[in-house]
Amino acid sequence: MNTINKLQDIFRDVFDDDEIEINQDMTANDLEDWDSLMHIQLLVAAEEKFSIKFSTAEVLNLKNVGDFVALIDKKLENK
Amino acid sequence: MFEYFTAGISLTNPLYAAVLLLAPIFLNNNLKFRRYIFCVLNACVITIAAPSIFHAILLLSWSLTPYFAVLLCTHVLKIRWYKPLLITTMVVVFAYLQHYNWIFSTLHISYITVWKVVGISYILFRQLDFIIQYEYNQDQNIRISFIDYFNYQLSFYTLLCGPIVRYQDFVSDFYSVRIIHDFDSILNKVSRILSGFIKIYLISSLLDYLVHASYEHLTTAVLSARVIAWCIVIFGNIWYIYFNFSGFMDVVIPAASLAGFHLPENFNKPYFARDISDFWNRWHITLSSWIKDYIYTPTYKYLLTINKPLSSYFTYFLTFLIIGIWHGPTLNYLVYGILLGVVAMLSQFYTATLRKRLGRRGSIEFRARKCVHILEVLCTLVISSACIIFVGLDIIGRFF
Repeated sequence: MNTINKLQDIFRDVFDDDEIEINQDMTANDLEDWDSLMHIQLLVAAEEKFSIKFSTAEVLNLKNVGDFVALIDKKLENK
Repeated sequence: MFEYFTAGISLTNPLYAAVLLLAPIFLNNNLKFRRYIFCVLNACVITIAAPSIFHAILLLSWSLTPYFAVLLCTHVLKIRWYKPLLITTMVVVFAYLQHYNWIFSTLHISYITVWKVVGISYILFRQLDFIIQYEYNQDQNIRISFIDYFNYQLSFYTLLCGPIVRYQDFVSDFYSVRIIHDFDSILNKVSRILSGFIKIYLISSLLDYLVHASYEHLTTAVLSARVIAWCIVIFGNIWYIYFNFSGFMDVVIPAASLAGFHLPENFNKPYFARDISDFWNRWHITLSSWIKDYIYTPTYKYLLTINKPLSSYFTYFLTFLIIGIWHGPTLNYLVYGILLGVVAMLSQFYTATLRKRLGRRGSIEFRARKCVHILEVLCTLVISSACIIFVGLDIIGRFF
């Protein structure tokens, strides 16, 4: 299972919606419930699932799902 | 009385206005030396603003310290925890320089200077951005040099009251100059500058007069006069601040654009906001965005990690409390922050209750109704107006 698929499971879990399909270009504007609170819940869920830690600077430079996946991959590589 | 400086960086100062007008000519003509020319212009503006060389040196030392401190900590001393160390130091020194009396008088600490720097709170947020993002910017090969930091921190466009630009955005923007050549665009910018002047010197001046005249009658014995005075203060002050601040942005943003800079917008029809968070996403946008990135997100993330109950409510309260305190050093701003925090928690409670009772889909449908929409907008406007009377007016001093 690659990172984006694992991340999709996290999205479905956090948003409590099994029909969510994510893609690299997806942003908060594409999901109705993706507000700042949900965004942080996503970050924390991803940190727990992948056993990694995001810094403040890394978090605020995320622009879309593609950036999120790239950041997780980079963190996993450096683990 | 405190002595303010950098107040010279005002649109009423003909020298500052002249720099604003002439800057595009200097900056667009020689792109190779653009950063040096900008540096000289910024230094000139500081010289215009500072009443003495002593003041200028103090401003420069305070503004430029983080650059050298970060270099020293990361490259020479190799301190791992330099971020919390520098952030705490900068915030404490800022509170001291700004004369946060409700902190320092309680601790019986006296001030060594009587001067205060207008715009110092903006300088602080740029400093913290630089410190927090330093390593990330290095990893991303973002250009970091003394002259770029100097221009970022002391840019005469944003020195006084923003918009709060991030170092990364400033540098990327500075080296990707977009000089405007077509006449229509120039005309649009000039007309926005003129509308900014009208907002500041006509509309906001009139509102300022009305608000201050009414402020004197807040405690008058006649009930009807008192009610009218309160209404004018409550609904006049928010519009005064809006026209004054957004007017300044209407001058500075297009003026910077004529010189090849892209400054972010700070207002987006705040009077149409549906709750307090929405209001702050539309009002002083660059401040809200800064606070969201550096206060709200890390706090909520930390609280979620340690599984603390009611973490979203606490985060909202803390975030808005800091917004209030950042605005000024007196108790009025502390009260303003507490009020904003309470309103934000109530707003969060309202959203959560709707979701709980009506479900996700049901709450969206409920809020989509026109009457609910109008009611929410009106409530937000009234509540925001009521809170904002503590900004710029000494409401506490009037009664105690």
